[in-house]
Amino acid sequence: MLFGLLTITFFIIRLAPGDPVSMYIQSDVDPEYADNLREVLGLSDPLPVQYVKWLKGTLTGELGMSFSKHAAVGDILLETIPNTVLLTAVALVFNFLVGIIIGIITALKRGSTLDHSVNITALFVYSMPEFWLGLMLILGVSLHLGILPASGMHSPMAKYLSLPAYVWDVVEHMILPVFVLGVASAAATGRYMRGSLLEVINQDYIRTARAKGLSEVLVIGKHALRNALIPIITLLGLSLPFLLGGAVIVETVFAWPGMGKLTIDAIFSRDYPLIIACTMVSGVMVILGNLVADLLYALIDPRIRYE
Amino acid sequence: MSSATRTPRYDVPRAPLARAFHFHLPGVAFIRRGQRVFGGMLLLYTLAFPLILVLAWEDFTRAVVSMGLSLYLLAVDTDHLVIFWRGEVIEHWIAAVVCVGMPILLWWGNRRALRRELEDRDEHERSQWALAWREFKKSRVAAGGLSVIIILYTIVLLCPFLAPFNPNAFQDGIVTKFRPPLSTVTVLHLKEARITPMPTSVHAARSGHREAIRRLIEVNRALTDENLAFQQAVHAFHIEGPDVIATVGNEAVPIPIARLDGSEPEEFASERLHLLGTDSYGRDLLSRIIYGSRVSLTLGFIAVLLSVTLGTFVGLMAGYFGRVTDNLLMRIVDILLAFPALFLILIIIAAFESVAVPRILLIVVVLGLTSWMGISRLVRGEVLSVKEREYVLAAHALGFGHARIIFRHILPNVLTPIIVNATLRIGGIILVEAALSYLNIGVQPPTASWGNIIFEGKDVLSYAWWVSTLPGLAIVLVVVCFNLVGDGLRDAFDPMLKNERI
Repeated sequence: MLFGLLTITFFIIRLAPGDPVSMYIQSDVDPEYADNLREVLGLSDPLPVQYVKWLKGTLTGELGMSFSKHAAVGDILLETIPNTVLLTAVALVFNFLVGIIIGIITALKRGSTLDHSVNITALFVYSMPEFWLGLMLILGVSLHLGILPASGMHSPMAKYLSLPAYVWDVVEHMILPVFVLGVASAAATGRYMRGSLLEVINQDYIRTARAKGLSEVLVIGKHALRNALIPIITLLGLSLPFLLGGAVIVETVFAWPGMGKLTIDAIFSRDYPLIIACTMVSGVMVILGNLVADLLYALIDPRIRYE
Repeated sequence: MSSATRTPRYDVPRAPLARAFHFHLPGVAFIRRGQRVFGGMLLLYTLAFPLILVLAWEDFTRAVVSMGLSLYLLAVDTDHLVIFWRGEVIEHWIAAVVCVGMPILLWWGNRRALRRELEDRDEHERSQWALAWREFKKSRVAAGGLSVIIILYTIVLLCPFLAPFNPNAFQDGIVTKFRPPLSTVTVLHLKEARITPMPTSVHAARSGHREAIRRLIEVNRALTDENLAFQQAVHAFHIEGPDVIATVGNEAVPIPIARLDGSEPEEFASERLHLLGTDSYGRDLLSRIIYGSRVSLTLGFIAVLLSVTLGTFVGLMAGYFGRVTDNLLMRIVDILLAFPALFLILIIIAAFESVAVPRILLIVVVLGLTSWMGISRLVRGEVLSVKEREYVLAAHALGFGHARIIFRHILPNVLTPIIVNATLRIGGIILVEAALSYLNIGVQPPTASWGNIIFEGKDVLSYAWWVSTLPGLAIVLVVVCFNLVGDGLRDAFDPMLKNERI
């Protein structure tokens, strides 16, 4: 799976016309020097040789040198991945927390004005471009109200802050990006949760639980919720690619120093090793996410057992 | 459905005038029988075309003349037509043709539908599509969404007539830039264009059709340059002797009255209204949003068409042939689905950026090629269930070929989920296109697209909020409508699917 992912990336990049060397040197530079540079960067080998070399490097954790940043790709990634993971993970939690709560409320108050207004809001949120929502929040919250910072991850003087102040600084910077990244998925999760819970509520065992005289809180909280959550777990795996894709945009809008912004920069400077590495990491994250979803499945639904 | 809800069949009015309205004015018949909203909207939609025709009469006649002359030259003097050809005028031709053709089409379709109704048609003879259409119309929001979409696509076709200004025309930036919505700019009308036209008489002289070529050049120029070249935008002006002193920024520019079109301020000065304001170059935002709709809407539509075709084909193959084909194709789908979609798109665009194809084409193809996987999974699943049905088995038994079975027996029966899915997808694709334009790797300026208008406005957010805000609202509107229509379609098709299963 991962292997296929890598292969496809590599060949898309290398089969494309144009090469990075001609981009970095002026046209009046000695052609011999350009050839030399190609030799050093390994671009003059035939394609299969390049591929095998690169694959070997990747498997041993050697990701190569970034063309544009003059640093090892691994080091650059180590700097940015935690930022993206932080952003995405918090957005994921936000997504499910808000989505599930909204889903439960709307399912229990089905047909009410609240239900309808939440549904309509969800539709609009879902149909909104993330970058635009981000800009609008910057405009409203940061520029007009001046409550939250508009971009970046730290204040300029963050280095000199004490630890709690530093954490608070990062949290302040994180609120808007997390909201933008998570809100559309939260709307989708909420809709899904509502449907799932409604389906469960009509089941016989819920009627039995009610007939036993259990309190409504217990019926919903223990019997209904647990079963309604099962399909939601699938969403966990599905929403990761969306979140990571969204992170590219959100990081660009909010100048968050993460992998998404790195990828965009790498694309503009035709930094092949960096692009490949970023794609690879995002692919790995998606696959890991699916694995986690599978494990959670087993945890919440005892009927599923992995051998 | 009970017969009580059915409209009486012969409700054609007797009076000649009413009869003429009934048959020849789309919508009237529907209003008469109580479908007021639908009929009223149809009527308004039909009447909008003549109205636009009148309002944009000057442009319309120019477009017709330009089209006529071009076709004439195409027949008699192709060489010179090629030399003086301007691609931009085609959009004016299309708008002119649509302006005339659409009402005719509506009239024809309406008459045909009414005639058909007169023939006795039973409930059971109605096709699946007619039933779904009836279900669909019941949902008000979905029908509303569809109306908005139809209106927007009409705007796409008519944008040269509807946009108040040329979307790329900018001049006198100091005066016109960052005008807020609903503001006006004072302009002085000049007698002669400020940009001297390119000398073209040399070529024309050698042709035998000099007069026609001269007219064509003139008309095309009028169509594309608009009248902005004859205007000078100013902050203020006053008359001093033989000159008009125009204030442009901090400068006072004297302009001889002789160069102006008229001698009184009422004659040579006027106010230019920018309904939605202007951007950093002083371009009219409303015009840019109208032209931007062209990119966003057509691009989304074509990309979805591409991805649905590809996805359906792969899904059909995988589902029908099974075994090795299925395994191979579905593994590819799995791998491609593991990429976060945006990364995949970014990589391909980055890789093929330098290829000499128009950027818009590249984006359409890339969006189409990266979004078919979901559809093919869906289709495969449907095919797996359909291919075991009796009619397919019967087709096998009759010895039909694979192609015939796939396309004549299986495809029509898996079509409805594909259509629903495609509609829901267009909204998503429009969002992705906008995001790409926003990341500055999509449609490149100066071509307006909603995404890149937002991109251009993001740095001036603090003092010119409208540049980024308004195109975003347009995107939200379109995507909401597509989602509503998709939901409506799903609901419209679903009850039938359920009936079918029983």
